[in-house]
Amino acid sequence: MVKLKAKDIAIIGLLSASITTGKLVLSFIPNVEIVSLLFIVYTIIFGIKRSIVISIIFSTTEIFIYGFSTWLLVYYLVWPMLIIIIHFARETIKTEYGYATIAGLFGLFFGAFFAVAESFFYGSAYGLTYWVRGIPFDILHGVSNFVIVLILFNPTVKAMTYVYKSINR
Amino acid sequence: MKNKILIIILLAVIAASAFLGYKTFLSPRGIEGSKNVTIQVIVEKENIDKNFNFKTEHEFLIELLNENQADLGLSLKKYELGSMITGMVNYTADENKNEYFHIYVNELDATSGPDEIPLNNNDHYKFELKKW
Repeated sequence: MVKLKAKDIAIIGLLSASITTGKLVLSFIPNVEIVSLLFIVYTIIFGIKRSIVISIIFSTTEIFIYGFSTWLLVYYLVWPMLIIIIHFARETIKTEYGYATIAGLFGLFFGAFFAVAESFFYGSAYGLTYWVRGIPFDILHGVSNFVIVLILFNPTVKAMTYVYKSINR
Repeated sequence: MKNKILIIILLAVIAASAFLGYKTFLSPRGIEGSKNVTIQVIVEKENIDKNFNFKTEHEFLIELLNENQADLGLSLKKYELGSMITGMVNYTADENKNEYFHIYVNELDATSGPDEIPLNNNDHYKFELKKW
């Protein structure tokens, strides 16, 4: 059970809102997003527990915005998965290149995660077709994730470190 | 920064090659020649169930739909990702009520939009108004 202080609840609310806003702002460009970057940075600065709570709030907000769909269920798995990977990889990764690689691979396999889930609902043939049809979007997602994290990782970490220090004064 | 730019350029080249590979080997291909196909439109709440039979030389469903837009009472929106059917038989799906036209190809769920559905002889394309 995660015990949260009032300060945690406030910061989690703000960070959850920033992720939803970040997604909506870029939603007009297919498969280009800053959600991966923000989850990576939040995990590094604010820790795994807060980040997982943020991912649950973010996924639930998506359901409120878009309505319930099978693909939204996968959100409850993929974002915590990214957070857990970053949590364990942060000790060994020393530069933004490592995080950009993880983000790139995460984007590249994003469609595959959904295809596996769709297979449970509609059969493996549908899941395979779903994945193959989405390959161009997965390529775009992987490349854009890599570039976004490579360029924006350091400035975002700097900004979030400032926020973290400010709230912990 | 110079290294980052070089890596991004290299990645863009790899991505472009991957897109080309997908287009060449994995994307759906049209079939040349004459085909007889059926388009069925169902809007249950309006008691609409219409069949349209076409003989066509087109290779993809979107081309057939565009050519017969008036007969089918078709309206669509074009996005960068492709076309989305918004209306059939002069009935427009109400987005506020979460309505959309679900596409079936030979009674199976279509796995792509009309831009990427190849036409095959004796195929049956069903457009049914549904809610998501």
